[in-house]
Amino acid sequence: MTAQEVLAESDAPSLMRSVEKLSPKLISKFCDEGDELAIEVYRRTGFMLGLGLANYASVVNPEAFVFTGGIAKAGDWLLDPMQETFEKYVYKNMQGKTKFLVSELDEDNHDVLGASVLAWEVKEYSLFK
Amino acid sequence: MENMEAIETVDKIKTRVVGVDIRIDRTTMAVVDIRGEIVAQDHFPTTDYPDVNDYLTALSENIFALLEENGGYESVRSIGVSAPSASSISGCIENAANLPWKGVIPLAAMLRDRIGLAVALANDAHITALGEKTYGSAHGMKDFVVVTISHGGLGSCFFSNGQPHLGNDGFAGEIGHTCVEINGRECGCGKHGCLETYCSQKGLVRTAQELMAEAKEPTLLSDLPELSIEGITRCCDKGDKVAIEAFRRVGDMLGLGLANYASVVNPEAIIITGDMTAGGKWLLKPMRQAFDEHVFRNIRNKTRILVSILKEGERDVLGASALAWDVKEYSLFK
Repeated sequence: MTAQEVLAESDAPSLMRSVEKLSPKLISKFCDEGDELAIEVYRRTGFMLGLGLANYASVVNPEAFVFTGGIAKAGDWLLDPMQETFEKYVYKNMQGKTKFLVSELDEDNHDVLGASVLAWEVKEYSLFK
Repeated sequence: MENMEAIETVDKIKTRVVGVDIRIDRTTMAVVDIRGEIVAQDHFPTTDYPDVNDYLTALSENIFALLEENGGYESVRSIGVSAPSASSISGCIENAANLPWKGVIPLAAMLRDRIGLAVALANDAHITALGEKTYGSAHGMKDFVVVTISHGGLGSCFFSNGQPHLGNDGFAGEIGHTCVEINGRECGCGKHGCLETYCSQKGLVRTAQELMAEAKEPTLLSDLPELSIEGITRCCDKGDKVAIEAFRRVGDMLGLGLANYASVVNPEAIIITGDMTAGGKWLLKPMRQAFDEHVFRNIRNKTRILVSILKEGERDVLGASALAWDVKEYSLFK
């Protein structure tokens, strides 16, 4: 949606214009190729994310944020503006203290692993005993 | 077996604690019994002691004097202390912005050494929430938020699964410094658009001043010697449109801030305490409306919003006394 807004705002050339269906992955790729409007899309998204996470951190004071899924894949085009905004808006006692981590778990196995952990926590039960 | 006479059949327990509420202007001490009844209470000006050692001497003397007249030192188990910027993890007051004592003050250890009893310390927002949980509106709840709105600030603490959520560094609950308006009002913390710049008494007064400057019709607010929560509330009661609009805008922002809070924490209730509750329905109705509009839909109509049932002057000494029961008993003289 942000990409559509950015494209509608100007007539500047962009690789995004020639694509029928935009995806985060494609936009990242265009950023890598130096597309200014694609970079702007991630800059705006990163700003909003950074502001939201700063408010979250001011309330909860976590040790770290761990990113999984699409956010983790977008890479520095998203994370740099996000972190810059975060440090600007988070409560001052927490500035520079909250870590940002990208999950090291395999995307496909992430949730089945989590679900298996939950399975160990439930009381054992069997129909056939 | 001739020594049997000297053996105590049953050991004695101590049935009282002392709660201390350190505020910027005044320090209040209370002797509280096992049922939460305040047996005796006294206070002295915090501002008289710019040196922390002198302050601790005065505090100790005041506590001893209070105990002497009310059951004696021997009846007291432990001491709980509430202070701004205090950490219950370190037992220290850390870089309090508005107290005269700078740096990190190991207040719990200093007071313990002077009185000879166990001392527990926690910050004022944590204590307020503990007071509400033990003796007030949050009694029986496990997941709740307590928000205190006072002159300059908006502080909070939330309990999760029955425990206070302190955060990694002990700074959790800073809802007053979440941004609700990009490039909004300048805050004392150095940022812009913080919730407390709109919802503290200062924020209300500023909103009222802005509205007065724009107003085309006369307003009763112009007749007030000084803009205050009480004064503006009285004008609302008389039907003054500008005063009502001032509270509406403040309530709108507060509702948005609390909706974001609730969407993250999903509390059973949000309990509001502090000076701002004097605004009554003029604040709470628009707040409720904005809250319902912005909160995540699965939580809507499920979060209770309450105004504290405890007296302003008693909540924090009661909370501090509840904290005192949590610390392990200790005595120099045993």
